Amino acid sequence: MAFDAGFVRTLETLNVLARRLMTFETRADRPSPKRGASIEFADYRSYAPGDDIRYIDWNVYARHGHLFVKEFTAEENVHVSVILDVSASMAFGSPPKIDAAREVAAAVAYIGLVNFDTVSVYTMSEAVRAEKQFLRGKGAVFAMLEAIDGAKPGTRTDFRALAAPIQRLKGRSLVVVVTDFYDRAYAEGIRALLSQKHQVHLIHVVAREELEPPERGRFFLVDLETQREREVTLGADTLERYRKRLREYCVELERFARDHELYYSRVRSDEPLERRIRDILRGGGILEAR
Amino acid sequence: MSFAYPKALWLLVLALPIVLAHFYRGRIRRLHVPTLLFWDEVVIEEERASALKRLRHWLTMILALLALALLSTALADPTVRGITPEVREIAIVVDTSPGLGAREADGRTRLELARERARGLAAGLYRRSPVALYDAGGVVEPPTTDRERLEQALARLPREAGDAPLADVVASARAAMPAASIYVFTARPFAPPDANVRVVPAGTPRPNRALRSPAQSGATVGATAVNASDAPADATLVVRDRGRVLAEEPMRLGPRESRVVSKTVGAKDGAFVELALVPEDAFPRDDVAHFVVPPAAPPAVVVVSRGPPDPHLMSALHLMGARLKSIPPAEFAETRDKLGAEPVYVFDRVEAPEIDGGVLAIGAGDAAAEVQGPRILDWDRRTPVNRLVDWSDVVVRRARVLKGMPLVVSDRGPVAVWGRTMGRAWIRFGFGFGVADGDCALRPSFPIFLQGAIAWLADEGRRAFPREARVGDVVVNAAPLPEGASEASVTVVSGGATQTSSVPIDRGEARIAIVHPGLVKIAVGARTEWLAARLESSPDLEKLPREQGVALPEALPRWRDVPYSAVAGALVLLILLVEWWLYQSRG
Repeated sequence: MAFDAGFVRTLETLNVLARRLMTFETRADRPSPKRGASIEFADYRSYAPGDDIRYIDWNVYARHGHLFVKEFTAEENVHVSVILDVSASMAFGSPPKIDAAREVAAAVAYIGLVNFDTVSVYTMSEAVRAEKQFLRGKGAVFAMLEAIDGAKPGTRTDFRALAAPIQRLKGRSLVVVVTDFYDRAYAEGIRALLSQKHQVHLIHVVAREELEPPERGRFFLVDLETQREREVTLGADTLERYRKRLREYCVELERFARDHELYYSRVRSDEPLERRIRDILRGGGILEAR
Repeated sequence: MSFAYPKALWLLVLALPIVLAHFYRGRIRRLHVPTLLFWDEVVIEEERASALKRLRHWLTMILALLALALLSTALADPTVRGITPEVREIAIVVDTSPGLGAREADGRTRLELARERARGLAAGLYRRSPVALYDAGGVVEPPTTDRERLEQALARLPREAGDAPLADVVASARAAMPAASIYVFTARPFAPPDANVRVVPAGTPRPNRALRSPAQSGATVGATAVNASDAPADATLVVRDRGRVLAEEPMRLGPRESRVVSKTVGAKDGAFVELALVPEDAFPRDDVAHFVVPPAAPPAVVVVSRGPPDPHLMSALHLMGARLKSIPPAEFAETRDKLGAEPVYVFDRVEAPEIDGGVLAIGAGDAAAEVQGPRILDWDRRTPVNRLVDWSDVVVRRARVLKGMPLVVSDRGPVAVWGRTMGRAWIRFGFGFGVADGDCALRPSFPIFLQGAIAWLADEGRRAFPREARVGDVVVNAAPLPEGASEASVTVVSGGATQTSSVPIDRGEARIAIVHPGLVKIAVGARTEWLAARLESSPDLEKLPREQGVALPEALPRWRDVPYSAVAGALVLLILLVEWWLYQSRG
C-alpha cells in the first residue's frame, strides 16, 4: 500500500498525547515528573547541603525561618513504540485488516514524529522485529512509512515475544499495539510491557466479515495462522454462538484494559481512516485533535 | 389387504429421491477464517447438541416417507381385513300395504315407524355397503351407496303404484341381489324364505287392554276399561268375590276405546271384589282391579239395660234399620259368646266392660263425678261421629264428667268421650238420653248422630289401616295397634297367587309398602284387616312396549366410517406442519 498526500494531511491534524509524563533524554513539549530546569514551578522541598542556593526561596525563609528550595518541571519528549501485528490472521477481510492496521500505525507514528517524539516501528507475529528505531523529526516520516509499508507478513501471533525488544529501551515508552488479538496469551505479553513501566495502548482491529460471517452451509474452516481445518455447518444457531464468543472476547479485552489502566480502542477495517482515528480518539489517551 | 387402485402405489418410488436427498450432504467448501479460536469452542457446543440434530434429521426423513406412504395408500384406497368395515349388500323391503297406515299409541303410523327403523339400519352401515329399497310396487331405489338418495327414496313411501304380495317383492329382491341381507319391515306375519331374510316388526301387533282409574262408592265398584290397540279387542269383564264369580259380561272394545264399567255388589256381609278383563293380554298386571266392599246390611246392635231400654234410643235404632236385640246385663256374657265381636253393644245406664268391637256406653261413669246442669260449650267436629251434628243448644240436666278424648265438652268438663284401638272402638256418654237427663234425644239430629256413631263403631272405628291404597304407596296405621304386637303379617292375594310377608311394628307404627295390586290382608295379633291395593294409572299401558323382532345390525361406530383418505390427508397435513416447524427450528 502507499500513503498519499491526503493521508499525510489528515495525520497533521492529530497530536499524540501521553497520558502519563515520561522521561527521555532530550527536550520535548511534554512535562516530565522528573524535576528539571524549566521555568515552570513544580514544588518546594527542604534544603539539603549541595543544593543550588539560587533556588532557595528567601521569602519563605523570611516568613518561616526554614530553608526551602524551589523545584521546576523538566520538559521531556516521548518515545513512541508502534507495534504492528503482521500475522497471517491480519490478512483476513475485505479490505484486509493489515491495511487498516498499517494506516493506524502510520498515523500514530506520524503524529509522534511531527511532535518531536522519538518513534520506533516494530512488527509482531511469531516474533517481534524492529523495522525502524529512534526516528525523530518530520524528516523521518518517509522512512517510517516505508518501514510500515514494507513490513513482511508473518505467520502466527505470539504476544509473549513482545517484551524482549522493548526491554532494551532506556526508560519508559508509549507502546501502541495494533493487532487483532488472536492469541490467548496476549495478557502475558502486555503484562511484560507494563512491568517495564511502559504505557501501553491497545488498538484492536476487526474485519466486518469476522463480526458477521456472511456464509451459510457446510464448510471446512481453515485457520489462516495455523492452516488447521475444522468442519462446521454454519447455520443460525452456530453463527449466533460464534458471535457470542467473539463478543465475550471483546468484553474480556476491554475488562483487561480497564483493570490495567490501559487505553483500548476497537476499529473496523472497512471503515475510513478518519472514522478509525475518531474511534481511537473517543477511546481517549493516545490521540487528541488539535 | 387389498387396494382399489393399486397403481397409486407406484408413488412409493418417490421414497428413493427423498432418502437420497436426506443423505446427500452437499459439497463442503473451504472457508478461511483468521482464527479457529472461537470456532473450536462453538463446534464443541455444536457436538453436544448434535444428537438432537441427528434425531431431527432422521425425523424429517421418516416423516417425509410416512407422508408419502399415507398419500400413496390413500390414493390406492386400501381394504384391511379386520380394520376396514365389511361391505354388505342390504335390501330393505318396506310393507306399504294399508295395514301399515294404522296409528300407534304415540300417534305415528306403522309405516313411519318402519321408515324410521329402516333409516336407522342404513345409517349404521358402512358407507360402501350398497342398500336397495323395495316396496309393494317393486324397486324404489336400486342398490346405492348414496345415503342421500336412499333417504329421498324412503321419504317417497308409500307410492301409489303396485300392490304385490310381500313374498313376491322379497323374491324379486333376492333375484336382484342374491348375496344381500334382506330386511322386511312389516306389521303382518311373514315367514322368511331363507335365513338371510329378516323380518322387522313395525308397530305393536299384540293387543293391550287395561282397567284404569278404579273407583268405589259403597257397594258399587268400577273402573275404565281401555283398549290401547288399534284393533278391536274382545274381552269379558269378570266380577269375583273371594274367587267366586259374581258376574261375567262380554264386551267388545273398539280401537283405542275407553269405556267406564261398574258393578254393584249385593253383599250384605261385605265382599272382597276383583274386577278382571279376561283373557289376560301381554300385560296382565293392569287387567285387574280390587275392592274391599263394606257390609251392605245395617249392623247388629245389642242393647244391654237393666230394665226396658230408653225408648228414644230404641226408636232411633229402629229408624236406622239396625238389627236390634235387647238383653239384661246377666245375659251379656252368653250373648257375647254367641254373637262375638261383630255387633255393636250399647250399654244403657249399665257399666260397660272392656271388649273388642264397638261399644256405646250411655249414662256411664263414676257416680261421684256427677254434676248438675252442665252447659255444653264445645264438641269435637273432626270425628265422623259428630258429622252433621250440632251440640250447641242441647240441654243436659245432669251428667258425669268423664276422662278420655273429649267428644262433647261442658263447662264442668268432658261429658262424652271416644277412643279406638285396633279392633276396639267405644263412645261413652256421661249422661243418659232420657228426658230426665236432658233433651238430647228430642233433637232432630239425634238419629243422625246415632246412625253415624253406630256405623263408625261397627266398621270404621275398628280399622287401623285404610280400606284402599295405591301401588307404590306406603300404608301406615292411623289408629294404635294392639299393645305387645311386634310385627304385622301382610298377605297379598292377587288372582290365584298369595304372597305373605312380615312387617315390624316400630314404636306402635307399622309401615307397609304396597308393591303389588291385589287384596292385602293385614293381621296384627288376633285382629285382621283387608285393604285393596290398586294401580291408579297403568305404567305398562303408557310405555306400550313393542315386540323387538330380529335385532338390526349394530350401528357402525362413527369413527370407523371415516374415509381412510380423509384420515391420511389430515395426517399428511399434520406431518407437513411438523416438517415446517422442524425446518424453522433447525440450527
